[in-house]
Amino acid sequence: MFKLWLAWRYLISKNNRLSLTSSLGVVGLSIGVASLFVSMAVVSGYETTLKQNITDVSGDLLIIKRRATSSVIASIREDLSSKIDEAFEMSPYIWLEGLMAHKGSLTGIFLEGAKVEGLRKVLKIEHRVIQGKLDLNAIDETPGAVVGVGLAKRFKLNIGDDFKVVLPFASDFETSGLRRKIQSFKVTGIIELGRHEYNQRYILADMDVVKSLLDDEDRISGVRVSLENEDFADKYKDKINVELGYPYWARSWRDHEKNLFKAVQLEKFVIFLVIFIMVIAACFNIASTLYVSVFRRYADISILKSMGFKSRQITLLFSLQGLLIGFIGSIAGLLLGLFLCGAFVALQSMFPLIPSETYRVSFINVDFRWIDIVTVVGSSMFICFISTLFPALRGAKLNPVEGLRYE
Amino acid sequence: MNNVILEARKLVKNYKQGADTLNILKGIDLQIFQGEDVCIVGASGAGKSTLLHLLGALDRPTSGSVLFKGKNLFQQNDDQLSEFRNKNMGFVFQFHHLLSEFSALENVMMPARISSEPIAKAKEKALTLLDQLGLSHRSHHFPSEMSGGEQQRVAIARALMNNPEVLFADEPTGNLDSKNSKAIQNLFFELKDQYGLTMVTVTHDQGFAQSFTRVLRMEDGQWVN
Repeated sequence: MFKLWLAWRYLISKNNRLSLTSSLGVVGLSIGVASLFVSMAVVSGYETTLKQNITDVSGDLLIIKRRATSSVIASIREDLSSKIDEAFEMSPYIWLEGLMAHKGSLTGIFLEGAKVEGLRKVLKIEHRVIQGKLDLNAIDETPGAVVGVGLAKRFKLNIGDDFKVVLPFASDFETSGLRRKIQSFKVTGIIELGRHEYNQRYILADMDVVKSLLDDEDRISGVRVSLENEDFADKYKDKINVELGYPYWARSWRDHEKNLFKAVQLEKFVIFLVIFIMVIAACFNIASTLYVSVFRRYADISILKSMGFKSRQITLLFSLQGLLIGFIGSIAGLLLGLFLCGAFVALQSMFPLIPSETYRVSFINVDFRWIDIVTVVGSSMFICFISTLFPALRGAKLNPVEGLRYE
Repeated sequence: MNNVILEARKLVKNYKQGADTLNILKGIDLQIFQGEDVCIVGASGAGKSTLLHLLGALDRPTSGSVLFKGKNLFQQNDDQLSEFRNKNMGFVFQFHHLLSEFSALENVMMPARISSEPIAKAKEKALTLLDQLGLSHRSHHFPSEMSGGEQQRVAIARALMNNPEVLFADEPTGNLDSKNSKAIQNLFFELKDQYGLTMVTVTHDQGFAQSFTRVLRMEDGQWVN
């Protein structure tokens, strides 16, 4: 504690403020740490937002079972229970691809048939409904549907508007080889799904209505599953695929954007390395400050040694000074980073900064992960310590007599 | 008075300067007795300060030895010597060398803090010393806020903090006006008697030198009779 006190007193001037040279070192380091912190928080935030958008809309696990029907749902639950070690919720769904027709325009769509009660258990889409509500009941005998915000915007759809969905089916009895079914829907809700391609194509309708469009009215595509801890999704996916196997096929939330998640991880690592170089440069700045401090304090080092201070204690004294600057710089950097992150989030809500066609998401939350904070602060302080070691050792080597000769 | 506390045997100190070697001390022998006050005088460059540094274990000789109570100091490693200085030696230098970032009280407490003495105890003793040297009203002042004489008295208090057996002073009045110089000289002898110190002083001041029981003269790294 004595050495820490001594190091601290050497850092601050008599009016209890950091000396100018130390302040400059702190400012340099805090800018580096803030950049590192913000970039980590934004990349982690992107990862979390992407993950959230997927798990909110698709569930933690997607279990597809070939030729499954509503009547086997109980057996699916039984099969899954044997492989998933924690409590889970599941909800059956039907997934179809078709066309949407409205006011003379056409576009490709995904039509999902599900029960609202079931979806509420496995997905978190209620809060994503930005207009209308999550209600698939018929209005004036026309079935209700919730549509993606991009789709609604493109076709200028509002709550209560009608549109048609055209579903093509293969048919041997038609000369074209195709048979189509047309169903009208009424918009009951407009939903922000967080992912561009979903917003542009997604239509959610009641399961019974979608089933009625199929030849085999009991068929389902599979079940959506929500877990207590979505981080185990990959583990259970592997278990289901390996141990249950055909006709089951499981996909975890990560599989929806597998390459993107990998790219984000790699990007995070590369960004860390690149910005870390900035922190290293800032640490050299601190080292030079300390080096000057050692030279300026030759007499002090000598007098401390004459009073019984050992060489390694001198090393510790100056290293502690470096570490203190590192610590203050890191904390200041974290605070600056917090401010910048807040500004980033605020700017996003004011202006459309993130083009969703490019980044898959339209809003990036910042995510402060302990591991990121510990890595940023720990590595900055470690580099600070290493860079101050050299001047500290130089000070320790000083012969006590050298600094006493002249004033 | 008959116990030898400090003994130098054939002390040689050479410095390399480029290709040349400077012989600063050329085989100095010296015995200093417990409680003795010794003054070393001589012209600048005679080697007085170098000898003082060697006797105080601040530097190592090129050859020869220094014995403290019969024990060869330079057989110890640097860490052991640091501890030895902390416990047994007190130093006062011409340029006081107070730590400018610390108050008078903190400066005086420093040797005790280095030897891990409890803060409260160290503070009490430092305040007593400052009071004794007439500086109690200056205890929270920084060196830059004090006069030369006051600074030197703080340095003396600091040297006495750990109850040293030997007090070394290198030109302690060299930087003071005559009034302050006289006051400091008297103070040295008062403190020597009070604390039973052995005192080794280097000075140019003939008047000060005459106050000592033993005066040794150096010239060109050797004793002069």
